[in-house]
Amino acid sequence: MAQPLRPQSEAELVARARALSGRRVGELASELGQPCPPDLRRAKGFVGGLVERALGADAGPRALPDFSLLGVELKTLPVDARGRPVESTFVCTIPLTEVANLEWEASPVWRKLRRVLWVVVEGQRSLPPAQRRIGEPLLWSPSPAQERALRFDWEELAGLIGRGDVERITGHLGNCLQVRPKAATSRSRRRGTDRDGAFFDAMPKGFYLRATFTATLLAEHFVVSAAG
Amino acid sequence: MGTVRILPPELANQIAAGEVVERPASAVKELIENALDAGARHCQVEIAAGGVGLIEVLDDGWGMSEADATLAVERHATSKIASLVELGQVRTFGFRGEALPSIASVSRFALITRSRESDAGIELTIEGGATATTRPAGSPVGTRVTIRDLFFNVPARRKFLRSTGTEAGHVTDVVEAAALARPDVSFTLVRDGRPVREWLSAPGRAERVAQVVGDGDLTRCAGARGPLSVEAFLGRPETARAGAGGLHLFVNDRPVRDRALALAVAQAYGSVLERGRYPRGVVYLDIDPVLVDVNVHPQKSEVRFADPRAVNDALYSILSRELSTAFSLPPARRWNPGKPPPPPAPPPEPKAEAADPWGLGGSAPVASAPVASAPVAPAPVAPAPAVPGPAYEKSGEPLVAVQDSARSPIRPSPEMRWSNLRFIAQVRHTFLVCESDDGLYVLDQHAAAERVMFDRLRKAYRDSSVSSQALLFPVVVDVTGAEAELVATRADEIAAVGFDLRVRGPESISVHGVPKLLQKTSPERLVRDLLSEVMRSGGRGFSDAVDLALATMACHGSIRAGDPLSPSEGTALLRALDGAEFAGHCPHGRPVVTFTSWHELDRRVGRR
Repeated sequence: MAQPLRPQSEAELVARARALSGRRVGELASELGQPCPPDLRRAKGFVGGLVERALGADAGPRALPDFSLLGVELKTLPVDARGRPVESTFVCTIPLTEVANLEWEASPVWRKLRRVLWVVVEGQRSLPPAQRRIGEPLLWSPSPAQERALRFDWEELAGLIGRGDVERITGHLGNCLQVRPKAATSRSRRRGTDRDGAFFDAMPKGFYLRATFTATLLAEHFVVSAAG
Repeated sequence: MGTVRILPPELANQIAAGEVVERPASAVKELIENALDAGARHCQVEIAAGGVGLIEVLDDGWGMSEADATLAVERHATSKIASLVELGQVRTFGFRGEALPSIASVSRFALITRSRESDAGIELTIEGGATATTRPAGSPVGTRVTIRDLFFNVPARRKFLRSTGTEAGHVTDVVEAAALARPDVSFTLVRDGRPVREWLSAPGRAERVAQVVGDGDLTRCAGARGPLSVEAFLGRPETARAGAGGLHLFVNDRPVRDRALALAVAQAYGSVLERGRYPRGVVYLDIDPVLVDVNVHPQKSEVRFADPRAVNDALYSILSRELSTAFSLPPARRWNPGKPPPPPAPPPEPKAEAADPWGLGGSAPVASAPVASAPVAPAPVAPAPAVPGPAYEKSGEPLVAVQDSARSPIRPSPEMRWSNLRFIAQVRHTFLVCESDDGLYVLDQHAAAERVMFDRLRKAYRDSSVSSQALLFPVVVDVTGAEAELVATRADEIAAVGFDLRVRGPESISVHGVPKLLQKTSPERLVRDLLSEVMRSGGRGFSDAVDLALATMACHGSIRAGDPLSPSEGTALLRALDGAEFAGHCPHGRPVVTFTSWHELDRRVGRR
């Protein structure tokens, strides 16, 4: 299976994703000519990248939605045997020095989340990566209520960062969104500003969707108990 | 083989008798029909030895003159029709002019008759089809036909007769059918010198049905569609039988056997009747005689409609609409036998309906009402005493009786709603105990929930609005090759039921979505329910099979016995039953509720 060209419509994208439903990660990796790692702890993002390739994502490392023509972001979502997300979902890194000037509509969070293709994947640690199944896709946009909740969290968290309090933010803040370190190593640094506007080196951080948020989202659209 | 010749009349009559007179009951049927066609108001039938020894039919009709009586025993002699046009719109029971000569050819036959205009009667006797002899005889106005030693000259025919009791039973059936056909006529049946049935003339069909069928457990449904009017008195689903033997069908008051009509009646019950089971009851179809051919069978027990499909559709449509609410909650009030229900609308002139004679736009139901039991002579049973139900005293309508036992009929009542019941408790995690001003109701929680679920599923299916819920991960189901083929070829129809099924291999499919209402049920089980029902249906329509499949899926997807229910859940279930069709029964025909009145409880503990 060669990597397909980018999809020309949402319907084409969804049809491709539906065709993956029920297939195993190892099977797909083999078709795309990629070796499947035995342990995903050292290969984070492998499944996401694999699904991106299988669906024809074209953004690559650029700060664009994965399917740039359609404005659709792809999010793979590992779930446990009961269909609950096993981890929070990374949305985007935080531009620490710019966030003070960004409104919600122009924020990277909204740009990433306004149209998402969710693809669930079995995420039980006991299952070898190659054995994990890909699930049913969901093309999603936040409902007005969800958008309000996301916006509220964004404004709270971005406000703290914009006021120079980035170091005070912990993972406990935010109902739907949370801010957590997003760094390859503990020595990674990004430039931030303190309360007086002075630059300093801060740990890179990212916005994440809480697992409770994605769990609610799955429960709204799927028969969750059937997982596993 | 000899030369071709015209058969002598005696032999021709015997051959005709083979078609017309199959057994004593056939002769009784022909004689009763003659009596009714002669305007009889009372008809007495007496038999001995199952009708083989003696059949005597006495009527008070207008009798015959000597000339007519002599002609009546000739083949193809009748006063009932005179032209082909009249044959096309025959309204009398008989018209072939075959019965009397046929019977006379295989028995010792005597006919005594006097017309109103004659001062004296005439007796005409024939033995084994020989020439008739006549002599004057004293007789009241009317006709008495006496048949002795039926088939005495056709021993081969006698060998095919059943036991005396069986033959007598057939005669009873014939008299019952005649009584059901003509409530305005009194009938008496005497067997071996003992009166065994007597039905006095009744004001209408409802009363006659109550007299004949008797157990007071039938519900009246009526409606008209195009040239067809239907009045039916039908039993509860749990009293249905394996064959159509308990279902009496009448077309223009003529008792008929018609599988398609019986099937239409059974199908009107929806899924509450298992396939192959038929309700007990009586169904009258009134239709312009021009649209039905009765000259199909020598015994006139079959008819042919000009448009049989339209008749079946209309019958189904009228009955299903009425029955959908007919077997619901037990009401405190019963229909008053003293006030007959409105008669069915007379068939409109076909010309007026020329553009859409069958009113395919919809039926016009008249009314439905339960039929009260009435005594069956000679062992009359007194009707239940009137006990006013306090909840209904305000309406001012007559209060006749409260139903008083677990056998209480489950009937509709616009005033009595499931949600008006007061939920008391769940017992054994199986039953919901409720009360009203009238008594105690015990609901089977699974049957009730199954009914509600089935009703919602079916309504959604019929409205093409079944919501599907995707599975997070598809479930792979091993199936047969034929089932996989079915999934491949009927994808759209299967999707309309709320399933997203995809073929994975020659004997494997995957389930990606299930009906939202059933999302808590095992997807594999639901799919197997659907596929097995559709496969079992063979050539029948997909939607028919879906009804049955939905019933099974509703069963598997509903609250079960053993599931604890909170009071609010119990109350919600009662509310949900309000909107359900056939709410008194689960989709498989099991009753949802039993009712015991306070009166009955008082009686049982000796307070009354």
